[in-house]
Parts: sequence; C-alpha cells; structure tokens
Amino acid sequence: MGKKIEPVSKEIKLSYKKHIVSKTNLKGIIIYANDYFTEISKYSEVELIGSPHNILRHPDMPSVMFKIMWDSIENGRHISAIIKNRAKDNNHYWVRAEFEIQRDVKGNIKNYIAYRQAVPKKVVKEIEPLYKKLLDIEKAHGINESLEYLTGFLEEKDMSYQQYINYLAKPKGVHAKFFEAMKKLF
Amino acid sequence: MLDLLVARPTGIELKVKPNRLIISKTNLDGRILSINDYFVEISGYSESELVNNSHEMLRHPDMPRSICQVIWNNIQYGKRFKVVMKHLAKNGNHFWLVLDIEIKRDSDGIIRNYLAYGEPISKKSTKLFEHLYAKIKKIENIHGVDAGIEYLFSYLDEHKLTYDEFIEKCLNKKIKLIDDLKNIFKI
Repeated sequence: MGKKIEPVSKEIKLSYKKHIVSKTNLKGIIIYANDYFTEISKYSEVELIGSPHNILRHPDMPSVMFKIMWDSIENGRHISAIIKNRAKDNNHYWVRAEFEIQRDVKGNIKNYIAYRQAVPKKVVKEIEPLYKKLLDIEKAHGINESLEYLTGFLEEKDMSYQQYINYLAKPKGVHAKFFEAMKKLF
Repeated sequence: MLDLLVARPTGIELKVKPNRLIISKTNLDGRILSINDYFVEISGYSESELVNNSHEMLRHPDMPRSICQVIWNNIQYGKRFKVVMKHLAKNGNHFWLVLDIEIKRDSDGIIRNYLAYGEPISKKSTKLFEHLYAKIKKIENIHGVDAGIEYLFSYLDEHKLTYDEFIEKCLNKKIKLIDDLKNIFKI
C-alpha cells in the first residue's frame, strides 16, 4: 500500500485592513460568518453556519488556550488570544482574536462576536514554540499539566495571560480604539 | 399555482424613475387593493390584473423568505417598516424599490390595511442587496428562516448600523421626500 503524501500546509496571509467576523451562540455553534471569513477559511456561509467553531481548530493548537478563552468569555470577561486556524483546504492562518459579548434584554449572555485580524510574523515566531510545548505536555499528561506549565511560564515573566498577549501583539487600526473602550466596560 | 402564472426572471433590471409617486395598498391577507399609475406602468401589468391578487405576484423569487418574515413580524404588530424589495415585472424583468410600509387603522384602532410607498435605490445599493439577499437565501434554504434572519441582524451588528440607518443609506434621496409628498397630496 502506497503511503498517501499530504500536501504541505501553507500559511494564508491575512490583510491588516480586513477583519474576520463571526458570531457563535452559547453552545459554540456559528450563527454568522462575514465575507472575509468565508474567503480565508474557504468554507461557505452555509457550511460555517450551524457548525461548531472547532471545525477551524488546528491540531497544533493546545486545548488549554481554548479553555482559557471560554472560561473568560463565559464569565463575561473580555479576552484576546493568538490562534492558529485550519482552513477547508488544510492550509492555515494565524489570527489575533478579540471577543465581544452580546447580551439579551435581561442582561444574560446571548452570543459571542469574534473579530479576528492578522498577526505579525514575529508574534507567531514567539508563540509557536510555547504552543508546541503546551501541546506536547497535553499529549503526555493532559490539560491540567499544560495549564500548570502556562501558569509557571507567565509567572516567570511576571505577566498575566492578557498582559502577555498585549505585550506580544498590540491590535491595530480602528478596532484598537474600539477594544480599548470595550476593555473599560469589562 | 402562482409559479405557472408568473414569468421566469430574465435578469434584466428596469430602472425606476426618481421623483415619481409609487404607492400600493394591500389588505391584511396581502391582497392588492389598489396600486397607482406609475407602479402599474413599471410592473407591466394592468391594474385589474393586480387588484385582488396577492402582492406576491410582484415579488421576485430572489427575495429571501427571511426578509418577508421580518416584514410580517413588524407590520402585523402595527409597526411601520421599511424594506428593500426586488420586484418581478410581468415580462420577467425586475426592479428594486425601497418600500416604506405604513399601517392604516380604522377609527377603533384596528389595523385595516397597509400602504406602501416606493422609492428607487442607488446603483451601489442594488449591488449590495443582490449580494446580501443571495447569501440570506442560500442560508435559509439549508438552515431555515431563523438562520436567515440571524444573518441579516448579525450583518448589521458587524457594520455597527441599526436597520433604519442601513435602509437610510440605500436611498438616492432622503426618505423625507415621501413625507413631503404625503403632505402635498394630503394622504
């Protein structure tokens, strides 16, 4: 039996001028995807809507990062994260993701809106080895261990997770002002 | 039954003249009660062909059901509503109008019928709505009307617009013109 040769995953470059915008409900199901999202991910709206967001999850991403993200936004706390995503054609793209929490008239969380934009190469270079380390720990020992490692890593730098992300990658453009304002709300 | 009676869309756009009064009146069941001269002219139908028939005769098949549901969600509760609508003419050509749908009540306050004022939209808006409505239609076909409606309002969220602001941007002229005309004609 011949071994199937997988084509090498290429990096898809995002434009700094555009944003990927998506909305998910409380169960993590995509209910909205903007044009740029479909352009980059190669999935159509019809394919994305109704799908869980993890269809974009890249196998190189450690689970602990998603745990931190969800814990934060489920508690109404703004967070940003550097994420590697997998497109339909198996190519990948890196984003800085910011979240906005949408509430109903009673003030209960209804949906999450995610804004994703391009990330500088130097940021990817710095975070990639950290993610690889976390993933290796998860495969060997599980998510509690990788969380412990991450906590230790941040303590050494004397930064919170959010401070570290901000230190690595300041958001650019119009959304920078928007998210600075958003942070004041939270 | 309706499918056999209406023409197949040609894809050809009819240009709507600005500054022409475009009015139609429909009852609670959506049947056309009256329709003015220019509306008749651009549709290619005679008034007798339209009156007492469903307004759906004039609705282009590209119009998403989601949008029609949103219209209905508003007007059945007596809320005035504006919507960009792709219309189907008798010969299968199409024309775009922004409709300002008003609620007409009797002296007891009961809703009696709906009065729609039409205006042309800008060329840029036509392109935008062709694109937007095509997306919504694809989504509703697979995921249902609720998903289609969700797409519309999420689209507005993304662009940081209310629905009214969004419609306002699509007009060639301000909607104030309709209010001015109504004052002149004492409608």
